[in-house]
Amino acid sequence: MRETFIELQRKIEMLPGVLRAGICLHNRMVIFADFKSPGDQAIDETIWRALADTIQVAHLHKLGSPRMCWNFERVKVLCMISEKGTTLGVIVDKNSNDELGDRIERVFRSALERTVF
Amino acid sequence: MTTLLFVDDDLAFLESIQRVFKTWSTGTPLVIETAHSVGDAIMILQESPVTVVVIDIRMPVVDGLQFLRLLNRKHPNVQKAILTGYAEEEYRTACLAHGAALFLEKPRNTDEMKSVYAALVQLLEFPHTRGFSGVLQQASLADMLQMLCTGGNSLILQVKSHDGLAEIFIREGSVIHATAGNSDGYDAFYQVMTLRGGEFHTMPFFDPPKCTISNSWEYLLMESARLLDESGVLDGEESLPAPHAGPIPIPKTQRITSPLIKVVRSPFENGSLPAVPSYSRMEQEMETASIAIKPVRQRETVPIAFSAIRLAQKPSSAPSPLRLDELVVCSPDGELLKNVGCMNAQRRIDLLELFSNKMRQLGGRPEWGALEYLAIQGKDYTATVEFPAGVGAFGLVRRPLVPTADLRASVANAVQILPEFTQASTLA
Repeated sequence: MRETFIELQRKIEMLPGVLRAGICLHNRMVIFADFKSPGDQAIDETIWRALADTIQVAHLHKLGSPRMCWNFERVKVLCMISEKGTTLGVIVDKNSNDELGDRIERVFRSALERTVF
Repeated sequence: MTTLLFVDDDLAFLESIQRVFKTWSTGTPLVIETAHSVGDAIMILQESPVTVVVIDIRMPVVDGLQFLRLLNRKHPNVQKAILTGYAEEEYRTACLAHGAALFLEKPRNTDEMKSVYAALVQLLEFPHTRGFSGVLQQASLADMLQMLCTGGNSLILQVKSHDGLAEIFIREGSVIHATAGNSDGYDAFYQVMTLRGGEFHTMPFFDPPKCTISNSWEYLLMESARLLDESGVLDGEESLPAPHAGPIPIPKTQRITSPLIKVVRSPFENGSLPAVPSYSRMEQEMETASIAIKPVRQRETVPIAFSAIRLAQKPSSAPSPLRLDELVVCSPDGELLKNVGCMNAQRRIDLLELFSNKMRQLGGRPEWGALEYLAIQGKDYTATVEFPAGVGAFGLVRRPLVPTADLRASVANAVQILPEFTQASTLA
């Protein structure tokens, strides 16, 4: 299972404009590998978990199937959630457009079809 | 009868203290017991009730700190005191952090012995009041839990009600386990959180036999709020909370038995969303509803932090303002400032608080810069969340793929006419 998600992360990080990606399962377990520049994994885990918490709670607020985009001054942080609560967080270039978000979502949904998560 | 148990590997000291303390306590119901090792102490604790355990720190095999942890797990109601020849600050801090009520230096003469005796007798006279207790009538258990989790505490929140005893295990600010009667895990947690009254106590933390809860406390509280909402209690359909009332009956199908999101179905997703009335009609309905159904409660939660957020700037291309289907604006303290079209503004305010908290977690990274706004895209709606100059704003249009710039402009227009916003902007 972990390998499937790591592969998903790798695929998403290969898309142009993507800086980093991480996955948080419904039980808050974070799946993340350092494919790009080495980073502080502890900090990253906090980030992926915070993104997952937010999107899960939004879901509870009857904001169904949301795709979130945290717009910072220099980056965007995309977040999407599966039916079963698996969350994908992706840090993308500030200048990336919605098409990148759509591509990421397609890769995410397609990968989820092959897992029980 | 009260029992003092001294645990020390120094036999001579134990004999001395037992002899002296027995003399001083003649005629009182005080019993002095001694144990030469932690193993002996455990046997005594199992055989008879002990009021206070007095522990030496430096002992072979199991030291005082390890024994303190063990006592917290096995005998959480026993008072603990430290009596050591190494009264160093780091030991003191560690022992007090692990539940010791007193940290005393070993006596070297009769006067010091008297001081120790007096301190221990004083401890015996006071009931075990670690933490605090109260009656949940005006206070909300959710508020209490939020406070404990936000503070990163490790403890057990014990809730007594007519239905029995329930416990919520909190480790470093995360809820990890709950028990209520024969239930545990999520079922137990939601049973506790939907109680209408009872007493609560905090107990020193010890590891539960299993960890059954993994979701964030924010998620758990939101879900509890949803269950309460749906049970109708918060909408004034129930009478005031009764101290001995049991949990609100939640239909079994709505109980969350696992953290999977799929059990929560949004009406947006199955197409059952009723037709949206016109803006003006919704505003009228909202004004009536806010009086008839439920006043928005005053918040006493963590204030929303806005200071680090810069005012959202209008996009360069001229946006077309939209008619918002929903707009909720609140102050940094979570007070409702404006509501259009939202039937439960408090839940939106809760959401804004969560976003604000998470934004603090996500923000503060120089390579990212400050947060400008959060865009949310659903199948049937588009929403934005912003925190311009002292207020939190949630705007929603019930259409997908609405240009974010247009939506933000509409929210900005609505927020900027608020006196609170003008005042905050001036101060900023």
